[in-house]
Amino acid sequence: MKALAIINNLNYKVDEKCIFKKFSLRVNLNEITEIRGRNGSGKTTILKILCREISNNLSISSSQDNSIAYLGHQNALIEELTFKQNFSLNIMNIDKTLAKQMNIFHLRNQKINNLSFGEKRKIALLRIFQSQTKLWIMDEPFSGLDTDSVTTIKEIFFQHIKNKGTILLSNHQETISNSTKVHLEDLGE
Amino acid sequence: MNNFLKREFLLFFNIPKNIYLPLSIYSIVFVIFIALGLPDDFKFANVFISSFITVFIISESSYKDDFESGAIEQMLFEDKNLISYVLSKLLIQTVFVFFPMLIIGLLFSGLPQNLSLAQFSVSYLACLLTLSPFFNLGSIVSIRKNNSLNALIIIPFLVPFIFLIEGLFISGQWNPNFYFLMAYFVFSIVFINLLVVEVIKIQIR
Repeated sequence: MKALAIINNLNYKVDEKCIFKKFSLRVNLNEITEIRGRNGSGKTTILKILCREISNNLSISSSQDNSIAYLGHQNALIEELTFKQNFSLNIMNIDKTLAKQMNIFHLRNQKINNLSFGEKRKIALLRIFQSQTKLWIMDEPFSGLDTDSVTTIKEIFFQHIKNKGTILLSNHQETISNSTKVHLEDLGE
Repeated sequence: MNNFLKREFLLFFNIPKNIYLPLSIYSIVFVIFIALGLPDDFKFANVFISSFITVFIISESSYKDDFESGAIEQMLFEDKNLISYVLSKLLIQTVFVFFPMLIIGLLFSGLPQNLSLAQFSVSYLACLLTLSPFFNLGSIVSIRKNNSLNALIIIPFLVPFIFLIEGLFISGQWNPNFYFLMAYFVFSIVFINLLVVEVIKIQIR
């Protein structure tokens, strides 16, 4: 299996608190890599470090297109605008089929500040799914989602892997079958 | 750059408060000065004090919304060109806010004695475009501290700028003040904006 990024013996401290000590990680292409761990274990930190590594073309051992679709803790949506207007800002049109599959198409003319937490998360995820990039990096993508939505999102993930995509995510909720799991508790200090 | 320009244009177009809030602040401060009935010596001081206050207030929220919503983080990790983002923001701000400010200033205060319309317009817009990156820098440096440091950080940069303004608009000495202003303008547009981008990266990481 080809590696997208490799981290070897990473030491990382924040305000004298050791987050990682001799931490190593390999992210393979065409698979889902889940970074799991308790709150404060450094899941977001490791995602950011990996993003930087991939962006800087360091530790890359593949010729795959390195463009990234990234979703952090925040949804990167403008609250005063509608779902449709938010997509216009990103020079995107809403993919009707995908939006209907995620049960958010009917919200297209609603302002973001009138939507629930889960609906906002699904809109942010839709932007990633429509991004045409091979590599999706997401921080807690399932937060605030109901069971049906989680099932739908997982189906989209598996479809992306079938299409030769790669997914890297931090997660402490749902378990994804057929994913490589990295448990930070085991690897950190 | 094109995509960022479209983004910023749509943000201004779809959220009218981005236009009318700074213009209202500018007009209100301006009207207060007119109501005070200050002597002619202060005629152009009101234009610049109103401009300072307005640019300062705009800069407080220039990056705040995108920072808090996670949009800047997304741009950074998706490897988008943050320089284009910063410059697009400034360009759209010039069209929707700074240009109307120039017109309001001209309508209510007229022209300084020694400057033509073209000279005044170019130097006034250059002033605003010089000030804005300085205030933006202060804003982004202190974005995690509720912008409280904004004013303190930019004070050292503003001292020479204030002398230039006085020389150009109050004393009416075009040469050499305009050329110094242009040098300051280029410094601000290039160096300070680069600094803004670097500080954004540090704040996100």
